[in-house]
Amino acid sequence: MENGAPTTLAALINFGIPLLLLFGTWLTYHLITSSRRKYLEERENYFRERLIQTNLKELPGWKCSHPVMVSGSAVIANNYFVSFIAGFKHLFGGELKGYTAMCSDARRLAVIRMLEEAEALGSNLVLNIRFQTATIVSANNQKQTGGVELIVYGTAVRIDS
Amino acid sequence: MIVVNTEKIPGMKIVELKGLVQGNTVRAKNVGRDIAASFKNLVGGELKGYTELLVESRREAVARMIAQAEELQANAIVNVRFATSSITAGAAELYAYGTAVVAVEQTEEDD
Repeated sequence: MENGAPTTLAALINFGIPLLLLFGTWLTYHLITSSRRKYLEERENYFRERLIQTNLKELPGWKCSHPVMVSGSAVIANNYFVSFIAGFKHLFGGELKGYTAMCSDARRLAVIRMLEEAEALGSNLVLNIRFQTATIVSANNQKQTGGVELIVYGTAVRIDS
Repeated sequence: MIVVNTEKIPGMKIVELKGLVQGNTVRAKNVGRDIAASFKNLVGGELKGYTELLVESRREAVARMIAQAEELQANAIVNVRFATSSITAGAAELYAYGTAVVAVEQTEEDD
């Protein structure tokens, strides 16, 4: 009976802290991603009518001028909650949706930054777009993902029609 | 939907540019396959489980890319490229991207 209090305290610390961490990161994950998605959609809708993107090198019959190389990058960190769920998914197999979302968000963010640069130059077309996953930032443990880093680059041109 | 990794489609003419389309997925195999693969590492040979994983991921990524192109009312995707990155041990990201276009059958007088 006497050591009842310390053991409950130990149990609280052992299970309480990870649970609190899981709940906290779940909350922050949803807050961060929902605001990020909102921003991404807004910017993508803005650029949809203004800039054409393609990974073609040349467009036969189009007159292009003012070529400038533009690039964008984004580094997105992993979330504790997402990697926890992914750890479970690893046992059964299947798609790790959290990581898919992390990669596509990073890519969209990098593309938007590239388009912003292109727009500032007065371009209306980005040619020869390439994607590069520069590094998957590793946390202290080699097996664990710390995040994803993306670089996107292309050539911004003006179409004179 | 015509999906090619060349810049032009032989015998067809690109009449409209719809823009970049992409699809990605991160997949993992179950733990049994991971263990089998680590045993296979001792003797060498093909890791069939992981080959299968890549095939599945590629199909999924391409399907997502095609779905995006359909949304843009394109009938072909040209210059398709694949990129992979390893996310964690036993999981890989597969990313497919290309340019969605509208292509029409090339007639004699175009040449």
